[in-house]
Amino acid sequence: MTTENVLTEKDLTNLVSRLKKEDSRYSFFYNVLRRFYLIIISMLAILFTINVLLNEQHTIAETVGKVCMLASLLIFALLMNRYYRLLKSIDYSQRTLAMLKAAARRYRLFNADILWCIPALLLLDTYFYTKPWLSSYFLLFQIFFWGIMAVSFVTGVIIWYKRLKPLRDAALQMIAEMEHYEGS
Amino acid sequence: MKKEELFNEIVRSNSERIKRICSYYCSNDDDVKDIFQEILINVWKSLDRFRGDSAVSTYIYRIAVNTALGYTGKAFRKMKLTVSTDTVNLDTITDDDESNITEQRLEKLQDELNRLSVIDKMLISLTLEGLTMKEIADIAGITEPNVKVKIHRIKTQLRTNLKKDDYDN
Repeated sequence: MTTENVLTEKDLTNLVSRLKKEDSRYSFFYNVLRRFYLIIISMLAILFTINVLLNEQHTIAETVGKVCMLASLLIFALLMNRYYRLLKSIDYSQRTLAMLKAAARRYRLFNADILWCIPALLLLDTYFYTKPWLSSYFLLFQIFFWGIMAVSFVTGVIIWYKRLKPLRDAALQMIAEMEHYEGS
Repeated sequence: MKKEELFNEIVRSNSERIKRICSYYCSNDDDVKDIFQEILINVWKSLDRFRGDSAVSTYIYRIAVNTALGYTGKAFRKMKLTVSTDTVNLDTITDDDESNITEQRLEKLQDELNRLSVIDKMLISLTLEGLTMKEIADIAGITEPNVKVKIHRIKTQLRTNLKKDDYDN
């Protein structure tokens, strides 16, 4: 089999051009998303400030609620930023053992980062708690809100169990085999 | 040098190397082509991090082997290591004279190789490439003595099983 059977010069040129497009598409998507979050958070911050300054009947609870909403969005934005960076940092040129360890870490069910979702959700819930129009349906809303979160969590765990756990198990098995020093 | 130029240069000067690694892990042409392309994609993605601290060949082997391990995904247990009469350095893993190896013997060797674990297959593929223990250790990320012991154990196992087959026949 010659190299030409695997990849011709034309294939290589096409591949490079696709890779370059992919790179620019990725950067574009990433920057758009980052700017979108920044704009949303900034606009909401401005709107909330104007609302607080102009509305004399504005209560402290409402102000706290709005700050909570902004803080929640900010945490989600930072989490998303971190995940994109993590995905982009996957490096196949590392030593095999290091790559397998990074994969095993990446495919864990719980990463420390995910814990940041808890304060973000609590802050979001606090924002809804301060909304007067929700006060009469408070319990119903709480059941609905945390019910959706619970369903999302269980779905996430099922997806992890079916798709990512086998990959993590395979990586852990290979790590154990590599690190087992038969000379000792 | 621009990323594109460096990429083209690396691919042109290492395509045979990459192709050999692909052919160890895939037996049909379509799979070889797919994994070859996957390796090139990963070379491109990690090119920004290449500082020239290690040899280009080591860098390529790492990406090729890591991609092959990842490519097989859930089916990693089924990952095959394919050798043929064209495979160089076959004599380094058996006691056979490379020029005299028969089809039947090759078939038996192939069976024995496919009984090895994924990591053992990886180590053998790098041995077939004629790499030193130090280079293999650098690619795998384990110590040189560990590589030596593992490869010695694999070779002994292969030779014993091949000899056993000779007696049986």
